[in-house]
Amino acid sequence: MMVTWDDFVWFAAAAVALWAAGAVAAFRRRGGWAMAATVAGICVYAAFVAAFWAGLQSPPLRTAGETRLWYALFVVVAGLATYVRWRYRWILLFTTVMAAVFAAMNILKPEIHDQTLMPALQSAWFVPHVTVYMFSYGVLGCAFLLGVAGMVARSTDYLDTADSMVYVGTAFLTLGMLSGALWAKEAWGDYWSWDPKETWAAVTWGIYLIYIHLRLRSRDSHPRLAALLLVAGFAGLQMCWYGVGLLPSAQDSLHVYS
Amino acid sequence: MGKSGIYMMVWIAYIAAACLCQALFGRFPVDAFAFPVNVAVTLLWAVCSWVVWRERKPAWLVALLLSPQTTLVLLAAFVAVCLVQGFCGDRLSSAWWFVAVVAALLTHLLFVTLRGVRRGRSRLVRFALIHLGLLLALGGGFWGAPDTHQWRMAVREDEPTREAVDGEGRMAYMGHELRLERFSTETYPDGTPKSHVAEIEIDGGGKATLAVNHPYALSWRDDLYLMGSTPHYCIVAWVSQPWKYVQCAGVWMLMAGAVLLFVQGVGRKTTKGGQA
Repeated sequence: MMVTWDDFVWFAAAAVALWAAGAVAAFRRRGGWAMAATVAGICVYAAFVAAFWAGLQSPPLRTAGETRLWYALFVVVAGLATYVRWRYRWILLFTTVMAAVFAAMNILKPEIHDQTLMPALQSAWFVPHVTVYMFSYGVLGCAFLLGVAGMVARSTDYLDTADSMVYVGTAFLTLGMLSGALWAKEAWGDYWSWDPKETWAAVTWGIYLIYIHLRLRSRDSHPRLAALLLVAGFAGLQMCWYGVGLLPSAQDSLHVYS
Repeated sequence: MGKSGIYMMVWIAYIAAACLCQALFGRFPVDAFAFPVNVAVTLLWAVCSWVVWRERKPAWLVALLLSPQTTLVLLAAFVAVCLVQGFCGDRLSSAWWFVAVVAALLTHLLFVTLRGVRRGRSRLVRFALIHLGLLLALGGGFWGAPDTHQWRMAVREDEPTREAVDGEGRMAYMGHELRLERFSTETYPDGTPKSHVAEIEIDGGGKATLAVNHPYALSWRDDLYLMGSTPHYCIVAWVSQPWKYVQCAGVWMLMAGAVLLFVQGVGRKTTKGGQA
C-alpha cells in the first residue's frame, strides 16, 4: 500500500494527540510519561515520513508541503532534547503547538503539497537551517515575554528563567546562522556576504551576546537594561524573519526567492 | 570617572578616530592588504598581542583589552555598525569604522581566549570552542577579505572562454579555459525547474559537473559555481577564497560550542562586579 498525502491527516492527528499527552504529562511533572508519549508521537509521525519517502522513491524535500513535514518533526525532536536536558515543563506544549501549526498547514492548504521548491532551496541544509531557526525564535520569544513581564512587574525574578531560555535560544540561533553560512558557501561561494538578511542575523545574534555577557558580568545590576535587551533581541528576530523584506535596501537580497 | 567610564571613553575615541579616517580618506584600502601583506600583518598582530599578553605591558592596555566593559562596548559597537548597514543596505565592510570595530573585537577575543585557556576556567572546552571558533570564523573573513575574489563567466557551447568580470565590472582573464559541453534542466510535472546541471569542459580536457548547491573544486582555493543560464550559455561564478579553511574550521568549532552551550546551559555566576 502506498502512503500519500491523503493518509497524512490520520498520522498527524495521532502524532499531535501523543505530543499533547506528553505536554500534559510534563506539566504534571510526570517526566517518564512525557518522554514516552512524545517519543511515540515522533515514531508515528516519522513512520508517515518514511512510508511517504518510500512511495516517492526520493526524499520528501521537493515541495513546500514536504519541507513542512520536516519542520514539524524536528521542532518536536528539538523540544524533546531540551526537555530531556533541562526539564522545562512548558517546552513540550510549546513545540506541540508549533508542530501542530505546521501539520495543520499541510492539511488545510493542500495546494502547498505541489508547490515546488526552486533549485536554490534544494539542499540538505534547508530543513535543519529553517527548523533550528524557528525553534530558537520560539524560545527567544518566550524570553521576550519574560522580559516584558519583568519590566511591567518591576521585578528581577524573571531574569534567571530568561537566562536559561536565552542560552538555549542563542545556541539554536547560532546553529541556524552557521548552518546558513555553510549552505551559503555551497550555494554562493562565501560563508558570509553581508547580505541584508545576514546583517540582521548578525544584529540579532550580537544583541543576545550582549545580554549573555551583561548577565555574566553581574547578575544583579542593570536588570532593566537586560530586559530591554530581550525586547531589542526579539525586535531583531522579527526584522530578520520578515521585517527585512519590507526594507527597500533588501530588494536585491540573495535571500529573496520569489 | 571610574575605570568603566574611562574604558568606554577610550573605545568611543577609537571609533571616532575611525570615523574621522572615513571622512578624510574614504574607503579603507582593503586591496592593499592582499597576500602576502595580510599574512605578515596577521602574524605581526598575533605576535604583538602575545608579547603584550605575556609581559602584561603596557598594563593599562592589557586591562583595557581584558575588561568586561570592553566586551560590552565592542559588541554594542558591532551591533551598531551592523544596524547602520542593515538600514542603508550598502556593503560597508570596507568602511574604516567597520574595520576598526572588527579589528578591536578580534584583538579582544584573542586576549580573552588566552586568559580563559590559561586560567583553566570552568566549562573550558565550551569557552575555547566558542571564542576560538569565533576568532577563526571572523578573523578568516576579516584577514582573508583582500584575497577573496569572485568573477562571473558566460560559458558558451560554441567556443571556450577565459574572460571573466568581477563585481565592479572589471574584465579579467582566468587561468583556465572553460567551455559548456551540456546543459540540462530537470523539471517537475508542472514544468517548473527542479534542478539545473551544466557539464563544463576545462582546458579542452577535464570535465566538471556543476549544479546549484554543488560547486566544483578547481583547486585548493578556487571553486566554480553554477549561477544561472540562458538557452545559449550558462553563468559560472569563479570564486577564489584561500582563507576558506580557516573560516570553515571556525564555523564548525563555533557550532560545537553552540551545542555545548545548549547542553551545559547557564554558566557559573558571580556576584556584583565579578566575572564568570
